[in-house]
Amino acid sequence: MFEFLKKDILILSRNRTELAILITMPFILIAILGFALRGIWSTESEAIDMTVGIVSDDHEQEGLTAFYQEVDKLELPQEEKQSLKAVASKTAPFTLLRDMLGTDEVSDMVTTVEMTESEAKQALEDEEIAAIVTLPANFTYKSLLKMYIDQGKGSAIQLTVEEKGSIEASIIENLINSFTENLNFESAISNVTKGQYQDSAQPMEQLGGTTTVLANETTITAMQYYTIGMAVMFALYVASMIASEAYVEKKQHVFDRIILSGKSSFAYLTSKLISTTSIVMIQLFILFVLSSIIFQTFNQTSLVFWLGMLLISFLLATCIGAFGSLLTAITLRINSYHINNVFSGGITSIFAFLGGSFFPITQLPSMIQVIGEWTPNGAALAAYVEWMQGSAFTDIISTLIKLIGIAVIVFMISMVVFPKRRSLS
Amino acid sequence: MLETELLQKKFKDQLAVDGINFYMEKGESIGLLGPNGAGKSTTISMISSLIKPTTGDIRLNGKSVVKNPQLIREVLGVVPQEIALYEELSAYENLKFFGRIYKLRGKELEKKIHSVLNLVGLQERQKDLVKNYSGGMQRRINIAVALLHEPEILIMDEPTVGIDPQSRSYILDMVRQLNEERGMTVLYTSHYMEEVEKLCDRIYIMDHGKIIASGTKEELKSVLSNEETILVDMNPISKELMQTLEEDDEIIQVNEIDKGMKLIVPKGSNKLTSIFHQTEAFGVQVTNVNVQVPTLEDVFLHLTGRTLRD
Repeated sequence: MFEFLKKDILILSRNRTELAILITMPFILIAILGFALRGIWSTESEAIDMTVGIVSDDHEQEGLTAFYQEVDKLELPQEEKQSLKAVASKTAPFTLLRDMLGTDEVSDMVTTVEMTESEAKQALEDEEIAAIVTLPANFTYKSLLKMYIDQGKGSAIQLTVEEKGSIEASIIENLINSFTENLNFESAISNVTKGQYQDSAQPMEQLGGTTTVLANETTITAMQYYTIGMAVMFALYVASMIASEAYVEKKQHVFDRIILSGKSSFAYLTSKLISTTSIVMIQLFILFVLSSIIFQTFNQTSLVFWLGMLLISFLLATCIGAFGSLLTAITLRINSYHINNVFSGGITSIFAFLGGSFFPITQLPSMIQVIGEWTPNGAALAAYVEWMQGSAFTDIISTLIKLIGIAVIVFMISMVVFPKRRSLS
Repeated sequence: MLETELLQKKFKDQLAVDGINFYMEKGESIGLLGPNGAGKSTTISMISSLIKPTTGDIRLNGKSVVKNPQLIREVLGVVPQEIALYEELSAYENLKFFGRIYKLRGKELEKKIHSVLNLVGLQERQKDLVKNYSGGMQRRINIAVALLHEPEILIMDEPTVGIDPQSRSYILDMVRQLNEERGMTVLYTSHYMEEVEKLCDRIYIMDHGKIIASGTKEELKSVLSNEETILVDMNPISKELMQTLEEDDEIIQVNEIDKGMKLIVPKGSNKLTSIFHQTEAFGVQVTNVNVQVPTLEDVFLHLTGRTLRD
């Protein structure tokens, strides 16, 4: 079988048009889509890394003491007063804000530095920080007074940004707004319950939006997604390319020579499977390596990670190899290369769309998602993405089995379709 | 060595080969002649086991090839009419690929590649891509691939179509060498009568799927042993004149050729005077006259009513 593979690789290496389709075009599309759609991939948390200056004119302990004094003046049972003081001590706004900004999820994106007002202004001007969060004088006292006794106007956190509307400004603004709303919500509950305030040890967990973004999974970048998406799409072209070669072999009677050498039709079909599989493996290797070198797409150095990628690539390649055999069988059966044009011109694009090469299939109706997951490129893309997000091998095994299943079924069909030796000429 | 028995092939309703009997002895060189559509290529495809006969059998040393195609494949080299090569590969790469699928390996393969390249005279150009070769060179490599595994029987289907006289002469000499010096059994089909006359010990003539004549060159020519051929060059070529001559009972056949007409007449019939009278009557000027003994071409014409290139 090696002689067939060597011959196919030699012929392919001398065909500039085919090489352009298999390597150059996907690489150009990876670059275009990876860069152009980078902005709409909100899950790219690693792209957000900002420093925020915290300027505090507030003295928390003094504020708390002043608040306790106000509580003592209230006409409430002593027990309720103690309860209110205890809750207030646990929910001092500045501490809560620090806790929120210090959580793992937020600190992955936002680094806080406490500084004076002048230092902060200078740092913002020098673009060393993305925003200044200023806590005004008596922030703790006024906030607690408004929150728990409903006296005064409360106190507002001041946010200063260099560029309104930038991603960084929007994120910190969102964080502070969520924090404030959450505090207001809790204080409202407190007012309703009149001192029967529930001890909220983890109030920050309700800080909406960001929780989803900062899940435990490693997120993947647009460049990574489209490297995989385009690679699995353009890998499909190898199947029609190999089948077209089979048509030329038949037309030029080279196929007869192969049969006369004593090779069985099964051996011939298997050679097409092996050639397609190997060429897809080479194609994927080149695309992944080029993308890694030029766009730093895959920075993983773990052997396990690359072994997983190798396994998924091999199963995808085998699956496409089976499609190469099927197209070869149909081509020889109907004695026409048109099926290959239909496959490369239409079916590949449909598979690419259904399989998620252009955008994630989670945005499509569930019925289409199910179909997409049964395309070789769609199944492989799902496995790659899960694996790159750090999923365990057991999480992708069902997808891998699906790829094996598709490969076996398609190859068996190709054996049935392949014309018997005596009806070839 | 190889024989066919009532070999027949039908494609749907069309009978391509109609019950032919045919044999080849070891070391013989056999010519298969016939116009386009006579059934030669179908016969060759059946003999080489590429298509299955509808009825009949092919036997190699008494054993059925139809039942066991591998028998003939092991001893057969086929030179198809088409250039059955990978154009994007060099001659050497083609030979290496086909050698490997014939299970040749290592030094043995290199030795045989070297040997066939020498035989076809393309040692110097072996690294060039086939697509960059002239038609004659492509034909020579086409033959070299068929010889790589040293077959006992070589089937050549019109191996000199569309090439220059020099390459054609080279190929004919090579085939003769393979047959005479290496004892290779050759089945040769061609449109060129002179090639078959030059190379073949025995000849089969096919038309409409049947073998209509067979034998040595002499045996075939004896079909017309009592006739002679008159070639008349004339100006202008007059179809009316030819029709009139055809009505003459003593003239066996009249056919138009390049510059005039060819007539087959009984030997010693002295028809020249009559022919000159007729040409004069039709106002046709005779520019040349040649009386000769019948050739194989004449035999073919006599048997089929058409020339080989029709």
